[in-house]
Amino acid sequence: MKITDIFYPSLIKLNLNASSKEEAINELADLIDENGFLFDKVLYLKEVFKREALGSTGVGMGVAIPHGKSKFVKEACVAFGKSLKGINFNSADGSLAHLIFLIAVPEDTDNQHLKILATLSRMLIHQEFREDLLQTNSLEEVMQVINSQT
Amino acid sequence: MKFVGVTACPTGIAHTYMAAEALEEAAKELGYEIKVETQGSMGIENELTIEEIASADAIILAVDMSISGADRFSGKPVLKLGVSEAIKNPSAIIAQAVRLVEKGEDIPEDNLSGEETQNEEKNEEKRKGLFGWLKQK
Repeated sequence: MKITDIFYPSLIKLNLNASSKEEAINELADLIDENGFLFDKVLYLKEVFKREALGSTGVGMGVAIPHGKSKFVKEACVAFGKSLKGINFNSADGSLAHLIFLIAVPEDTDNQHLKILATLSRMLIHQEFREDLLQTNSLEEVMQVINSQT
Repeated sequence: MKFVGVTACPTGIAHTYMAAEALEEAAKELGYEIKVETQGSMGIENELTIEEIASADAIILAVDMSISGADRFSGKPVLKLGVSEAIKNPSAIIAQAVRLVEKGEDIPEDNLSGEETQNEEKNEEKRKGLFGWLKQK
């Protein structure tokens, strides 16, 4: 299994319109929903915001990884959005999030999907990977950067 | 200096692994050995062995929830912090762990007794603690 099994060009937005955390999560959830990965967007989002309430998923370094594990997800996937202006995710380091990954995982997901998400999370610690992602200008370039690292 | 650590967050999908990677990278950069066990959505991975725990100079727990096998670390110097701290500032945490080993700084109260008296009796207790944990598994 490869990262492209959960990371699709149709779930990438190079320039998010959102100007708040809630808007960004909703905008990416719309993409996931439009592409048929959810049974119920509202109920999936409830899980995402429940996780946010436990502590912001703005991890600093310009990155946010909101996520929800829910039975209202059909199939595991990741939506990716870039925000040029940056979005306040209440990151501990005070940085605005420019790279936002919204993860959707079904309740009974298999370990292979989780393994890919773990790999992606680990990759984000590396500055070079973040910078490469920031510099992408097309869906193909994003897929290329993601693929080159996994 | 050698460290072992555990990372764990509520959903166990992203932050657990980011924190592990951040600590591993920071330790490598600063020239220390580290092994980090992850307790995430895939269960326990990269599990610490009894030997690794015994030979570690300090334990780093970057956890936002209670972890399984916490009693494995009794008697060792433990640095406990939140997952996001490990992601945000891993180098500072490694440095803090180094200070903990060197000067005995910042030792949580419940570990003080194990630190101060390194006599036979204490070591015996420590071994029992580890075996006790093994049996539970």
